[in-house]
Amino acid sequence: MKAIRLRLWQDMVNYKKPTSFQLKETYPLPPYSTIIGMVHSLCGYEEYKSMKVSVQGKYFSKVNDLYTRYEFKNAMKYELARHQIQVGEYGICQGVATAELLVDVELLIHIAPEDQTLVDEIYDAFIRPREYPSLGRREDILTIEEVKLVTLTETELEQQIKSLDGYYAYIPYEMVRDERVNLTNNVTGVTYTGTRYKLTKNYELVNYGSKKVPKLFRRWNKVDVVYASVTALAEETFMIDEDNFVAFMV
Amino acid sequence: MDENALAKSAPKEDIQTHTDNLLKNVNLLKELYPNLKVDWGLLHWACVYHDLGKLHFKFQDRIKGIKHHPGEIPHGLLSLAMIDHKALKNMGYDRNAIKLLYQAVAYHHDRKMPFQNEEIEKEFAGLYPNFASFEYDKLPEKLKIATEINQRYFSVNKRFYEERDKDLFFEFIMLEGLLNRMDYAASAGIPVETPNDFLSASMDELMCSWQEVDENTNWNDLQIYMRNKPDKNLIVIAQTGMGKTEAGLLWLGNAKGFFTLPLKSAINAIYKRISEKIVREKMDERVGLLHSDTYIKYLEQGEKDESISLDTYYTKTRQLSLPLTICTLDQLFNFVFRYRGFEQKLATLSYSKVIIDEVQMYSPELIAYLVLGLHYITRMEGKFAILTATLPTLFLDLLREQDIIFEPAQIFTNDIIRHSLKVLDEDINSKDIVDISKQYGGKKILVICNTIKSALKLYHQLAQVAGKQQVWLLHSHFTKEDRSIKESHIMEMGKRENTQCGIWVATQIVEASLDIDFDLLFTELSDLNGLFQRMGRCYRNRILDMEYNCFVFTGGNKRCSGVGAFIDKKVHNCSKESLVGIDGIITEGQKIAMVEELYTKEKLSDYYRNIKENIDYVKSINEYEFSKTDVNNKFRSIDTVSVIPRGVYNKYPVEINEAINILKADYSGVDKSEARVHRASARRIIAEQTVDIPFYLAQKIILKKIYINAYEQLSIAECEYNSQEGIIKPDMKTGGEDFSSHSF
Repeated sequence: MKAIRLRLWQDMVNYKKPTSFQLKETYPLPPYSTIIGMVHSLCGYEEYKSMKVSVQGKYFSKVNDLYTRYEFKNAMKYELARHQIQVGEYGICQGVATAELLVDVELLIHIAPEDQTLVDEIYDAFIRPREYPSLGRREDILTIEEVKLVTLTETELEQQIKSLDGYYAYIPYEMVRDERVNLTNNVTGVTYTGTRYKLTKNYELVNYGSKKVPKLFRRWNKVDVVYASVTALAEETFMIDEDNFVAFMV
Repeated sequence: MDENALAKSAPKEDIQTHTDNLLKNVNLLKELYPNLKVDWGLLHWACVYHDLGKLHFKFQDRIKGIKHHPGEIPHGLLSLAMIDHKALKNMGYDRNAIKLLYQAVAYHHDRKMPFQNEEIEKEFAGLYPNFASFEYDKLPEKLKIATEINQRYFSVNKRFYEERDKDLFFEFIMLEGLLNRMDYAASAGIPVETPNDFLSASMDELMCSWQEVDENTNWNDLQIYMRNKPDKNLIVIAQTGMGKTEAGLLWLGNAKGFFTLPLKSAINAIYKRISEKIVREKMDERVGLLHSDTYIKYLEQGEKDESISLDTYYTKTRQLSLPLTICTLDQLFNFVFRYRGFEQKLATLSYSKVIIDEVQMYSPELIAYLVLGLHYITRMEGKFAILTATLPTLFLDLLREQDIIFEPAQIFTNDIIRHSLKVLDEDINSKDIVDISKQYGGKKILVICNTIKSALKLYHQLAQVAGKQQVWLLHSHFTKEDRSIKESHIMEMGKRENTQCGIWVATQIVEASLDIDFDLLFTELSDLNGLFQRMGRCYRNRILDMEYNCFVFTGGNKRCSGVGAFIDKKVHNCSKESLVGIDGIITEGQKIAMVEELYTKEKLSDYYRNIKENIDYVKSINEYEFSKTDVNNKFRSIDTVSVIPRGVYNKYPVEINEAINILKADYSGVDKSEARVHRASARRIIAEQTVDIPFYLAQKIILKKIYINAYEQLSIAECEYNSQEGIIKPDMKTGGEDFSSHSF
């Protein structure tokens, strides 16, 4: 299977957790949907192209910082005493809020479209981006350190492969459950280590209204992963690229 | 000797010899207990590999006293470099078995762990020089030093947990526990187990000696019941004087056993009884005594029998390798916290039988540990027998809730009517005691109060009426020396054939295990269990021959002393209610029925919930979360603190200071065991003059510390003391409550 491998760097970034409100919390690595969205945007795709993605990386630290928040209620009319900004007849509140930011993020990402003919197109989109690439919020600019076309091969390991330089990864839950990987940061007295997430990957639009008055909702496909630093164990089968990186494709 | 492969320094021993000693012990254990639930082959390999990490040059340099290198990795982790998982696979071991082996070797000492496997792997190179010349015939062929640890089998802090790994967790306990036992036994140069090949015969001899006196004597129903069910978990309720200890020993037969009792004094008494009446010889190979003052007791034993090597005897006891060990609950059951290194205790109990005596004495906290402990023991296929005079019904419910399988509780009583009880609904007072005792003409009178305060008050009042020569006081706040004099006095007087008369005023410390027989009993009500225990000290084994012989004061409008302080209010009130309507003869069967009816989870729901909460708390603790020291500190809250009253210190300043100097002295260069005897004797001199005070009370009084060394200090309590009354009003920290109304 052909894939695009990216080495990326970002300085201060927020991959928002959809359930966070007062403080905009961040996931420790970008979730699948964020990466898939970036690919679609860079390539100008109007509809979903099925793809598999592996996310690995690390960050140096985490800080909280202020950002400007724009708040509005659906169809609420502008009121002078309430709103700071008027857009047509509607009103918007402008204020400050806090976001959690990851500092000095390094990422190692594998992207493999199901339609393998798209590989070159996606590769080109990263070599010559049509606008500045960002990952996370719109303002979270991306430094592309490396783009490489690689081939992923299903391989039974003779030797275990340790994670790259303290990198963490999203690991499919089954892989952890079946002990095909070893979670490295154990603590005595703690039965289960690693953080389990249900991450969004892609969605379908579902109509809950009628044909005439449609009410469209996104029905998300969520995947069960463990965020951890792992070693891929010997005698198990993994997707490996030619530089001996393991890709945990989801 | 391989000078580049030392395992121990004093005396010097190389890894090969040490490992061979472990393997000898494995064979010994296998011969004695061939059916243990452990993979003997895996245990063999665990022993072979366990100390190979000591080949590292840093370890060798340290043990030879050449140099301390920084960043030494625990040798158990370095041993992993030598484990050849491929060879083990070829021998037929599956992944789980190999994982068990890696972790057993890695964790065989509780040491500070590095953060990552890489830190261990970096040190592997340091094994090469000594490994190149290392020869050992037990190693598999073509052994190599790995460059990496296979993380399928080990990664730092990865462990087996009950919740996740189920049976594997218990397999690990057996493997690690037994490896530890072998290792410690080999290090100490003692056999890991001494077989029990004497107890059945000793019991037969005991019966023969009784039959010489009276040829119609035979084991009673209780004893026969227990002897006939050696493979079952039993619960037996039997009244005092039915020979429960003998019954327990008959159940034990020729098996490895632990006999647990709540009080040190009771343990000492049983140990004495077994050594004098039952086992009689080779005590140091047969029966051990395990509580916080074991060594001091052994010193006494050593004085009687000079052939005993105290050090060996003590080590054997500490390592649980004797056939029969008499111990306190906390010495054995602290494993329920599953602290790092707990495996050896549970592994040992898996092939042992545990006898638990006097269950009614334990606090809710200890009951919780007991129930959980029995859960694990039965899970590992160990056996237990509970012996008790009265059994709270809710205890049975607790056992069932933990899926513990046992035979239905059996009750053994005889038809002898011993007691007639008069309930007096008033405060305990000297006037009634004097009047009633005149009326019934008892010669030996026992008065039991709930608190020291109330006992002191009565003592003074009674002394005024009857004269100081006729009245004695016994409670826990006497120095050990005075207390043992008093205990032998009360025991002597409590013998039936003794014709001395007088009044003993005591607290519930006489409730259990003191074999005394008085004519009249006056007591405050604590709870039903306590009351019946106290009644057992009066007409212990003779037929009632007067209208009343026991009088219980239930307090009237006032509350009995100690209630609310250390006696549960609810239990007390329910006990009081259940005594309504009782007047006159009370049979043994009646007593058991009353206790059964009172101590149910419905009636005493708070008490029951308290125990349940304790159980849930301990269960909520993860395996290996605590170190052994953490757990010992937890048990401190049920422990006591030894203090010397200022009055006593002023009386024996020379003796005590001399002993302190002996403890302070430097013993480097002196023979280890000689130094230990010196120190222990000095400790005994000090101990004789100390009073044991519950931990929580000790925190409330003003203590002056005398420094001995970094680990030990002597506490002096600012108070007067005399041998008639004990501690007199110690100085309290501000806000402290009345001392003597909180103690007994």
